Amino acid sequence: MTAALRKMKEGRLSLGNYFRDILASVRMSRRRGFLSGLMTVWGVFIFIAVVGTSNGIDRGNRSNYDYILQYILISVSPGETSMAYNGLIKGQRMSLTRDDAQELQTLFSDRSEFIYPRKQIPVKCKSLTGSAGALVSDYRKELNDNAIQITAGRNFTQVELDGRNRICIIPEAIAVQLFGRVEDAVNRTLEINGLPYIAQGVYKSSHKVSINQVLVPFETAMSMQGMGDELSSIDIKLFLKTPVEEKYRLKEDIRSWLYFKKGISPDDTSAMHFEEYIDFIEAQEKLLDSIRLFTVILGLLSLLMGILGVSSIVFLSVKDRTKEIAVRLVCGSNKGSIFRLVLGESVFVMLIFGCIGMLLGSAALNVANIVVKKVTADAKWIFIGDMTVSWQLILSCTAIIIVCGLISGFAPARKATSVRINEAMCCE
Amino acid sequence: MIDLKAVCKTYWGDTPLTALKDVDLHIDEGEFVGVTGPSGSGKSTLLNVIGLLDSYDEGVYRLGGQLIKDLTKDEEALIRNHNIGFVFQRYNLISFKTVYENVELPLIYRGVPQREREERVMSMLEKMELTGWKEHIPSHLSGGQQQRVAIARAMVMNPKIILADEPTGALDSRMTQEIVNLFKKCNEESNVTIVLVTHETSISSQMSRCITMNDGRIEKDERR
Repeated sequence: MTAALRKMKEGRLSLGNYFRDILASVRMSRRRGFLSGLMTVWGVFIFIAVVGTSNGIDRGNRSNYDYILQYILISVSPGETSMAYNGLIKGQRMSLTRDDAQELQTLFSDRSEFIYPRKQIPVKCKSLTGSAGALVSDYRKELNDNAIQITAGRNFTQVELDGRNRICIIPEAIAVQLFGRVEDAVNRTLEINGLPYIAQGVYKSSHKVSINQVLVPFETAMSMQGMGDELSSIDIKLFLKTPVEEKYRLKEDIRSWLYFKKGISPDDTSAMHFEEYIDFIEAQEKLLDSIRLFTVILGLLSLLMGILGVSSIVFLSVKDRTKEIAVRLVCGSNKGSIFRLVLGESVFVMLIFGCIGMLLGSAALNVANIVVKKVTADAKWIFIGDMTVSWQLILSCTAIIIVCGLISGFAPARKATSVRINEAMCCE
Repeated sequence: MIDLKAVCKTYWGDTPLTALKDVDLHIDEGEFVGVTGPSGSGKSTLLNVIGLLDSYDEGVYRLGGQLIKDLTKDEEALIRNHNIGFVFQRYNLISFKTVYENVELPLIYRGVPQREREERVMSMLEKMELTGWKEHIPSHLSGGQQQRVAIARAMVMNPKIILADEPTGALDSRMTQEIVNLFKKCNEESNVTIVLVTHETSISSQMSRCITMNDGRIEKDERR
């Protein structure tokens, strides 16, 4: 058993001796090791820096349109026909009703997260001390979206939401305009279209897209203008990460269904208005994809430079160590052991200095993060966000560095195995 | 032990150079053979072929009865590791390894366990009077000491053969005799076959057999 084990080990270094020899040879060629290390540090540093910057650009831009991405995506509102068709005359005003919204909900519930009937009415709000123009809107969408944050007073209860109470929640700007201070607006009465409403809460928008509307329960909004079941719009919120193609398909399906139901010509362009942000998001995604691709290429190029640098230096090292390699062969080393030794040295240098590069890159990103956060603290729109890199990226980077080390060392290792002992022993 | 029949070796370059021409040589176990001759006579080539450091083109070479032809590099390495110890003119020690580590190297490649390695290395260093230098790197040692390390490295494997290529070429006369005595001691105590290449007649005259080479051929083969 021992003899068999020994036979297996013949011509090879044990693991301990393997690492000891790698360390010893790196120690011996400190200057060379430092040079190749410097290249690796630089390559990995640039790689981490560009990937982090790309992450920052991605996150910054995403945060700007997250609201749009997550909430409103398709909004349908009635318009006027642009052509006579099927009994409809040109310029005929169209309408959307609760029934339309309900049918859309039934038909497309599996393809969308929510379908909201919306009622929005321009109104004049009055208090004893001032007046303000506003848009009254039903509250459910904002409630579902967590788009508002109550800063004074309280929110609607479910019972209040389902009823027709003359209560409202007003934005901070209107509260200040009508009552002087946000706190003073709570439980005060204001007049909307001649009828008294209690302002039971004040809110501010929790998203970048500010909502500056007086919010009332849906049924209250529906009863405000005496227009029966007519809606201002129907908003369709899609599932997150819905592919762009599906978004377009859904929009077309809703349009076809509404046009068919209302008897509108398929070629009519103004009977229904479709407000959607698909193109915008798609363009943003494409831009971010391009930036990502560019940075990945840039990062990989810098890594490639590191590989070439380390490879050429390991080549030199092999050339300088020809005699040592020959001595090892004379002492009974097999070619595989020599190959692994050179490869191991290359991976070791890459790994140690790659880790230093990663640390420096991460540190630089952290510093840049602090600076960017300070600079953009009050900015509403951010074009560069959190630049930190994930642990997954660090792990992937480590794996890439090991692969780079293997690539860098492969050709020199092969060269090392082809050393001719008798010639190497003669050279000085 | 070593048996060469009509061995030829040519170096193929712009002008081909025949280094060995029909060399017939038989060396028995325990012999102490000196190989002499002028520069370019084929001494080192002969040693390289015997030591499997170089190939031959024609003829037959048997080492310990085994035909040496068309072996892979790893097979050659295995045979070398088991049978042959080398000593070179320029010592060829690994510069960043200590004396101990240099002597230990062939044992590592043979897969000898650490404790056994330690015993064998220490015993060899003692024999070579190098115990006090075991933690030093070769550049701290004199030429004679470095050559003793090289001999220790060759002997530690208990090889059947030691091939020495001008081992005293870089040493002064006092050191030269010291090294020759060491080889003699190894030969007598361990019955190891030694083939020593030298162009110094004062050394070759001390050996039991002296082969003189000229122009790639064995010119003289004298036994004493």
